Amino acid sequence: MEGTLTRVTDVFRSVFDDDELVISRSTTAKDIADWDSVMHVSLIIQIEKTFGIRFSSTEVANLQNVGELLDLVEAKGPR
Amino acid sequence: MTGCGLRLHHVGCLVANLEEALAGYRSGPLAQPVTQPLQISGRQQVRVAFVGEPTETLIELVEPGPDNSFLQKLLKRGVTFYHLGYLAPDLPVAEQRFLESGAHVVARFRSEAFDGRECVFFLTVNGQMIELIDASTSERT
Repeated sequence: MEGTLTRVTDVFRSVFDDDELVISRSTTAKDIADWDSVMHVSLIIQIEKTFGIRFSSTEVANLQNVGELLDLVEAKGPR
Repeated sequence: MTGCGLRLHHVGCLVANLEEALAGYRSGPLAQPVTQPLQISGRQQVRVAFVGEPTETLIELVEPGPDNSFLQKLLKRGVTFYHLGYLAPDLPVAEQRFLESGAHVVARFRSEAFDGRECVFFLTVNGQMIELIDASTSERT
């Protein structure tokens, strides 16, 4: 899981163009100023590319925090 | 016309001031027909107007409202062109094709700019914003 968090953190930093960005399982969209609906989809697409997985529309819409995202990535067996 | 019957309807361009942008199309070298500005309510919070001959691909000028943070941010970063709008004769089929290509839905709504027809915004894997407009009943606005 630690490796997944590291890789997901790299995606967040790339998408939000912030090399100092720190995320944790409890991080939500309210904690990152630019995390709106379009950035959310950008994140999802970049995570899909990074891990070679695919999220459904329902999964994307239901994610509440980074912890749920990490769990979903792990459940899909990231490459 | 694309592989699944989509036809390019408009190029979406952000502007800070709709009236000033329209003035540039009402006279001078770029003079073309323009529509009246239309306030779009709901989540979009934009004002729009179309430029161009109705039978050709149009320019959609989009002035984001003060509370539309996403479009305001794009505008501040100097982004003008930001989406392509396609007429979709069979919206469910087109949506499926986009999903299969790896795109995700960003927003879905009925647009006052298109007589209340359903519109779906996708973000593609290449970071391009695509608007699909239900054209199952009529061809153009």
